[in-house]
Amino acid sequence: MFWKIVKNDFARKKIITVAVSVFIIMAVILGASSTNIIANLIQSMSQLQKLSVPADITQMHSGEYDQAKIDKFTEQQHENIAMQETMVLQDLDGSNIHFGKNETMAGTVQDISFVMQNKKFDFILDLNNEKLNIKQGEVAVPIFFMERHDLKIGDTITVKSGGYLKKFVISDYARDYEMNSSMVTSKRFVINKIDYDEMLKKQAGKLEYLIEFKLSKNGNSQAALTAYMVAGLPANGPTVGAKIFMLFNAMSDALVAMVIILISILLIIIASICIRLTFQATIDEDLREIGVMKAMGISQKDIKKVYLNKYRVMAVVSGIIGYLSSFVVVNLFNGNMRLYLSSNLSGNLKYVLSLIAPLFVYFMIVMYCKKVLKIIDKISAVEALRTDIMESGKTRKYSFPLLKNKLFSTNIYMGLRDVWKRFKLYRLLIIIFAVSTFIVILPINMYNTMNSPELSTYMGIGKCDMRIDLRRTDTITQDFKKLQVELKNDSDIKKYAPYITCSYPVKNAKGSFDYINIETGDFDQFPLNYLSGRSPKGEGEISISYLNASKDGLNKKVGDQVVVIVAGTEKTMKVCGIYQDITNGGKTAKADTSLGLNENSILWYIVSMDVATGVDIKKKVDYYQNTYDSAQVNDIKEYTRQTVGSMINQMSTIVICGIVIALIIIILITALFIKMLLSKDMSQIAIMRSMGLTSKNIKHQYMAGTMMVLILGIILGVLASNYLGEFIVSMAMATMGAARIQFIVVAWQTLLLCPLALIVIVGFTISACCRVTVEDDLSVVLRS
Amino acid sequence: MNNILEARSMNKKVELGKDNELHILKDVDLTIEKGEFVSVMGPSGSGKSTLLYNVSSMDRLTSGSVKFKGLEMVGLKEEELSKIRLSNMGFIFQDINLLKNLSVIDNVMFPALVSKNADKNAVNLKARKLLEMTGIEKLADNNITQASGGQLQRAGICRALINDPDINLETSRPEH
Repeated sequence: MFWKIVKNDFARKKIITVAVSVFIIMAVILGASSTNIIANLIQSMSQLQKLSVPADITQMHSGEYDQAKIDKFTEQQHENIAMQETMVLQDLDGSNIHFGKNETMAGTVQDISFVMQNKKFDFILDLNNEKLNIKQGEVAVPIFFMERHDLKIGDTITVKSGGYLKKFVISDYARDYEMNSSMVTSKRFVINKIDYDEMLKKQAGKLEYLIEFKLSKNGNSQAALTAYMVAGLPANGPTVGAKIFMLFNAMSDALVAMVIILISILLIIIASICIRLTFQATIDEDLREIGVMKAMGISQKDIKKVYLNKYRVMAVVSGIIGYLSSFVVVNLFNGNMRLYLSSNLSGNLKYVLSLIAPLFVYFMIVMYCKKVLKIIDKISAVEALRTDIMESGKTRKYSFPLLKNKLFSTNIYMGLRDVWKRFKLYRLLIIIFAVSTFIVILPINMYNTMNSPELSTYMGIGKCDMRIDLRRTDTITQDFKKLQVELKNDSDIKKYAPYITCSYPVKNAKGSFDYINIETGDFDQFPLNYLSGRSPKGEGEISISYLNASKDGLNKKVGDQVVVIVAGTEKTMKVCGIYQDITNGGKTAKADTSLGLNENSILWYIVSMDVATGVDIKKKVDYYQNTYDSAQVNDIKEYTRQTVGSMINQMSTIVICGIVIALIIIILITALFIKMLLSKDMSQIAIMRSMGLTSKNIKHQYMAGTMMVLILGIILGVLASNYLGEFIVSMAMATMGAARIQFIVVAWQTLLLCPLALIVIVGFTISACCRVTVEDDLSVVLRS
Repeated sequence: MNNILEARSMNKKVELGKDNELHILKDVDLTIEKGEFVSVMGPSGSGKSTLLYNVSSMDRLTSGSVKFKGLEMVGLKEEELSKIRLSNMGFIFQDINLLKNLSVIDNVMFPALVSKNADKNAVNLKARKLLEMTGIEKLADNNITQASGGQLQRAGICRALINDPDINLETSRPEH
């Protein structure tokens, strides 16, 4: 009997049933997709790590080195270190690599090197996650460049450098665990040993070394690294640990999963609000029925069961549809993972983990319905059957009389005052509009922030037009001095600042020493945004990155002291500021030039500059690149865009999905709400039409009320996405070193285009819904 | 022209199901002159309300003609019929049918205020006068939930008269 009631109820209220079901399905799809992504991420990262066997410590170095000393060190550290291997990289500039129709890889921020496969560990794999085995005359191209230049298997690349000229056929793509991510600015092309030796003999590239260590089972990474530094072994490049590789590989997919989970939670909230809206709008109609059931002696539990069963059925059916659909939808989001981590995402973990979403949604919906249904307990049979008793005795003060209306037409005034009169009903709509606006605007803000030059502030780089990175060569010091002289005399350069980064031992919270990269120079020229404090201005001052300041790092705040060893001498520095930096594992520092250099551990030289007004940045970049061919010269916008390229691409997908989801929500909810209102107000509408109001007059009333609610919702949504959104994203990015993200808000998009688009869509939806219902036969309604 | 309303050969059929229809009005003629008081009486279910709804354009005839002040209403669009009802007709329903979110006086004023150029103060004055005539002026600013059925019926009469209609149409229960 109850199931018959449920079935009839579905048939009577099709639109409501469909709308609520759609939201439940969307919530399940997104929830299941995000758990799917997380499951795939865990499995594919784990598998890739197992097959590629990445190093636990990678020390980059260029120049002279003694392998025998490294071997001796490895033996001495046998408790910590299981294996050691040195990979020799032959670095080439992008302009040396030709492909397609006279194109080169010039302009890339990536350091390009040609290598051959390692023997012991740190293997570079193909797209089937098998160790690359390259034949003579062939090359495996990193996935980054495959995407960037649309290179296909069978295409050729030609390497021209000095007297060296060689054509390679692309036979595979290189899936490189250590250097996959665009955040790692080095990429390895894999070639055959014979070709490699030939390139080496002809000195086609500059040599750089990856001195890599694989720790033993209980090996201590920090101890091994400290011992390496103390032993004075070659270390004039950055040191990277296993954790950083993992973080960079997972970063963009983890970010996508987080955003989808957030949207899924919002959709569950919307589905719950829909259910509450349905109850509130229809409970008056059902009041009499409930009264009749109670009068007949049917228990409250059984009455509630009628409503609960309806939503149970809806949640189960929608949950199944959502779960199955998620395996198709997830392909929209896991493209990056398929390419960079694993082409085969067929692990079983995702089928199990994805069940969490429909189960969670089912329990949330049922629990919420039980809470809302408590209203039935308060209804007595007599009160429900005699609604005149309920109405009388209410002595609410009458507000917004028609005479007070000075600004609007009577119909619009009626619509606006209706929002006040029935605010309990409309407030749910405000929340839904606010949430939908949030879903649209938050990803847009994130996308604009990632795409802006201001992103450099989260990479520890002050805002500037251009940046020159000098690579480690024998003439680097002379080149650096020569460059500064040239810049000083170049009238096209408005201002510039040189920076030198060295590795310094710094005393940590435990009293031992960690090696931290400290950049020295004048930081007033290109200031950073500081979380607290300011840039170092003179002797004895140091600013540190957020992660360095955290408990996991040096555990310092502004005003604390830090002991740094410079050329063998301890120097006590005062922390003057904390900034954000997501590069180099998030642990960097900056100090004034007066700190001095550790000559044996200079890592890199950088010059940041601004061009004069009207100067073409691209031409300037090209000029300095050609003049200093060992340097990497970049337009800073291009630099940041390339570094976070894959995250930007994924964010643009989320922007589109966010807009589509928000539009679906808004159209369905508006239609649902208007239909329910029109149904509830049927008799009142008939009275107005009998007096001579046209259907257009009545449409204006509902349009006015709903538009006002929409505008309120948009305002709330914009505020939430700008402020709450910033807070949420900052919390998420804090683990990567960016603890206070400030959105770049493009006003015409978020304050004009999006709100206008929402207003137009809601307007059309109301118009369409009103047209259908207001044409009902007037006399039939009046009689009923 | 003395005739306010002229209805000829009015037929109204209602479909109750497949091959089952109810012929409520069969070739009904009706003429109402200016100033005339007409009472249509009959047993319950005889078609009195159907007659009223069709002559007032709130329902559409199956066939026939209804002229209001010489203008043929059958075939007019909803907007045109609404205008006629608003400006020229008043209705008093047996179930009162006031708008529940408006006060007594706002209910009376509402049909007059819908027109764009209405003088709110003049309409208010007129509405209060009507309420005074029917003895319910003290309830003017009350919610309709604070009035009895009889008082609301009188408010309905005031509302019907606010636009000085050419014709007033009323459905009522036998005991009125």
